[in-house]
Amino acid sequence: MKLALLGLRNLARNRRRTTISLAIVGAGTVALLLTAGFIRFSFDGLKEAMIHGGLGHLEVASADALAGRQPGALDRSLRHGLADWLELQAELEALPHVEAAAATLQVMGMAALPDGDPVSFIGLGVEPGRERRMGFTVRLVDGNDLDVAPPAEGDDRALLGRGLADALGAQPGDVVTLLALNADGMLNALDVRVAGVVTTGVADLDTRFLKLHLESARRLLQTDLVSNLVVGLDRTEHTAAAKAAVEAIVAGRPQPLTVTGWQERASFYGQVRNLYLGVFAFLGSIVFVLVVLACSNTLVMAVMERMRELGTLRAIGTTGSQLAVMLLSEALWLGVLGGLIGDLAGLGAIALVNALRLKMPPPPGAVSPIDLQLAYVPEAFAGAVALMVVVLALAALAPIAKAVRLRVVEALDHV
Amino acid sequence: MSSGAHRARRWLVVALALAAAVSLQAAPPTPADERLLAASDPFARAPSSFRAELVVTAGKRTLRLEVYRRGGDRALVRFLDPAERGKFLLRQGRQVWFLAPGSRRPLRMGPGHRLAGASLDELVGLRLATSYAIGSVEQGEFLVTFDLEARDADVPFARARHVVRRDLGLPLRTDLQAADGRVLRVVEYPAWRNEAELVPERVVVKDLVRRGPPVEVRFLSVEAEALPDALFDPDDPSERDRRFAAR
Repeated sequence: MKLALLGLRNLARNRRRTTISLAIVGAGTVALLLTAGFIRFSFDGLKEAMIHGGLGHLEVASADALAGRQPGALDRSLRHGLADWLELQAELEALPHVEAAAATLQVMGMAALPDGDPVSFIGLGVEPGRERRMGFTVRLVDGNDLDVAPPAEGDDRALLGRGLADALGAQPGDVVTLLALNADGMLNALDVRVAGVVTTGVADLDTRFLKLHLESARRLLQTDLVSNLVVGLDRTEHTAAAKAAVEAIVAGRPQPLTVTGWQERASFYGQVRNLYLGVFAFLGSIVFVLVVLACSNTLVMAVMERMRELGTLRAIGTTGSQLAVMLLSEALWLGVLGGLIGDLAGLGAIALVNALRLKMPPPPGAVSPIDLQLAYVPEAFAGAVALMVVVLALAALAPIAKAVRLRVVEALDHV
Repeated sequence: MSSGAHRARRWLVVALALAAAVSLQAAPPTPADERLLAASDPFARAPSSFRAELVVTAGKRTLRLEVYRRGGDRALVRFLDPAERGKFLLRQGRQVWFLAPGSRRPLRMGPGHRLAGASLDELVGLRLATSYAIGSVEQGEFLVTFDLEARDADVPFARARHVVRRDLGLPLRTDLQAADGRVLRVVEYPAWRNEAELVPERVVVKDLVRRGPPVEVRFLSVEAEALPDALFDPDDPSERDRRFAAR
């Protein structure tokens, strides 16, 4: 304990050296906190964007529709659609934490304006009221969102992706004819009025995307089936518990059903997460090495500058191991104090970056710039201090070895 | 036998073989061939205006249709299955439109658009004489085989080989081919309701590309009926609405 306190007093005595060392450790800590904050914000943002962009927290679909499909494949064959889904929907919506269970119907076909060239589309029939209850977002570029009430026959409306609207030459108010094959392979057509133009945030998808009321999609496909039920929860953290509850409900139904969590459907999220974790590990290892080298250098310099002092300590009977503990305690104090200072500086830096409301260019395939925001990650604040203690302990190994091997006569004679 | 007799016999055999080859060789078409081709299309000798009811079967899938045809270039196909009521396929010349109750305007389709695997031409006559020019004709003892070439790029199949019974002018089989001669679809006529009028009872269509089950078209009834022009107007549904409102 005395040696530990002695180490602290040594740090206080050599303020210039200590300041430099603390600055290095603090800067490393801030770098780690900013990286962790950026990654956490990106993960959370992407996760919620995918869930509230239409994926939902859970999906209930026919087991046959998912059989043999690649994980993450989102298209569901209409031939294996959900039958008798209204009763199931009511049961799911009675579960705790469930905001809504919205039916969707996937549609693919051709769209055309009168005398215009047809353009292929990938459409989704939705229940707008339930989507709003689940917090699903529609990014309108022009016009209006779909009405909550089912449209009357002959008054069907659709939202077009920006790229699809451009390709068709369509604007809000125009009537577009949709052409699609129903489950029996028979052709059907439906006139829809363009309610609005939207963006999904992904340029490629915008060139094909179309959204219409579930009732309109059922009219076009001449079916009572739906592709799936998308379940939205009040909080993403409740996904596992809600999945278990939903699985218990669907287990007894005559049509075999499968419940899929958002993670399994969001293969893109998994890919981005793995990419970011790789980047984080790479950056973290660089910071780690830099801090180790910088601190090791500072500590070696500290030993060199204090050669006569250390020689004197050895001359008055201080053992090599006592000297080693004293130097190690100095390093550990540097790690703890530098980490804490870095935490404080990190708090300020995160607040500053968030306050600046910086924008980043759209990621590949996206259409809009994204906000540069950093999350406060409590475990990163604690982890950074612990990491710095480890880093400084490692950095102290070389100076300690040098001090322990000191010859007293040479040390006392050191200039 | 002397060598001279041998030689004479050899020459005789060669001459007969050559004569046979010349007689079977594809010859350029004559006006009679043109007439035979025009008369050998299913429904070519049927009343110029008629209504037919038919069933198209492809594997487990069945489609009930009503066909209205006037002349060689106008045809209206009405879907009879309850789920498909109100839908029509309309042909005027080479133009084909799809009419659906959910859409106010006719939707232009490709001439090769299929219903349960059968194209409109396969349902109401291939119109070979108007769509194709005769490339060559093989005259057999009982059969005449036409090798046909599409008159323009709009025709779904670039070439066709049409086999006709010489005595009755009855088509037996049509191979629809790609430009390189590869057979893509085969249309066969195994049974006739009325041979004199070339009204088939059954038409079988085999798709050699998709390799699915053969499509069988069975004609349940064919009745002569005067049909107004308005029935075939893609933009004005009033005649169709009036006629089919109660049916």
